[in-house]
Amino acid sequence: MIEPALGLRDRKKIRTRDTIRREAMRLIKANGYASTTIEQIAMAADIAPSTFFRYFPTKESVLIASDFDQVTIDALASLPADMEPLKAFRRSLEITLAAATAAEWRFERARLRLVLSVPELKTVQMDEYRRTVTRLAEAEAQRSGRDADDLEVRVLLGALSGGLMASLDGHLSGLTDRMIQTLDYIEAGLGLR
Amino acid sequence: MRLIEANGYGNTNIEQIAAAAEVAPSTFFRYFPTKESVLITNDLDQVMLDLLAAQPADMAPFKAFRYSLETTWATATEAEWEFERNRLRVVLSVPELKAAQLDEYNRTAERLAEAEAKRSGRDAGDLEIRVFVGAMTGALVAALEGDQDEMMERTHRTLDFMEAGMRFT
Repeated sequence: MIEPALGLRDRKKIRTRDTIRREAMRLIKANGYASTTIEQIAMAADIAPSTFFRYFPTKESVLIASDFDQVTIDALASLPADMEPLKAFRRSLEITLAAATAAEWRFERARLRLVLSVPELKTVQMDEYRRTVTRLAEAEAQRSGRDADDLEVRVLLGALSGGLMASLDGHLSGLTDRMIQTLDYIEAGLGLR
Repeated sequence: MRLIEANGYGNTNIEQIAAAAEVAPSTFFRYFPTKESVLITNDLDQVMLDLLAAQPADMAPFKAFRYSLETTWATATEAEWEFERNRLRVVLSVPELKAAQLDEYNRTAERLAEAEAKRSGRDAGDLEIRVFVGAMTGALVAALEGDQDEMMERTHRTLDFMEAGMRFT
């Protein structure tokens, strides 16, 4: 991900956060979600449990937070107001995909694979997606100068998120290709023509 | 519906509903497995699915869907609409019922994918069919929120907007 020049303290924060997430993933994969405690994650990441909570409010959130969502939201809000909504959404998704490094992308896939395999986490992830959709609607409203609860804005994001969730279909192989195919299909009018 | 509107969902039990309908509680359960389901069941879905499956295979998916939905709605009487609006008003205002209703929409979406696959001679797991049904469901659920008296108008506007390539008007 392209980061603006950051101070030492910010870089250290990002490193700590990455370490917590990486260690959490490693422990959960090895021992299961329920058997892994925050204390164990903190110890593996070489921090105090109280430090864990400064980065993540709950055990769930260490696996739910996606670094990609904010990139998409910021990209969408910054695109020109006169761009067609579907094109703007596609552009912001492309910006997100291009900004992610191979390592970040690997982490995201491993994260999703784990999250979708634990029913409890899957539910929380779905709630998180709904919040992201609401924030995307706000970004789109801001970009296009419309109300966030405008029917067309809500329907646009409802159709895109419904279509993209359907393309996930519980498996991750080829997911980015399927997402692009999904946008192609929606842009081509959903089999309208 | 009458009891829940008057006393609230949490304060209405199956015994009261059965007494008001002059049936035994056991009879209630023969019609509805849970208290939720008495408010979640929608009779129009099956009509719409049957109609969709009967449309010609070469009809564009969106057109077949819109035709089936609008034709189904046209067959409902004003009294049935009144009931549906009240039902949705209650369901969307109780978080527990709203979640059950969204699950029900997901089940309907799966049956919709099957009907569309059968109609168009494709596989129900086909990416385009799944995306089509996901996008339609996502859009129509987004249009549910708001004044229930204007629900039908919002649905028509939603379909118009999608048909016009989702460009803002």
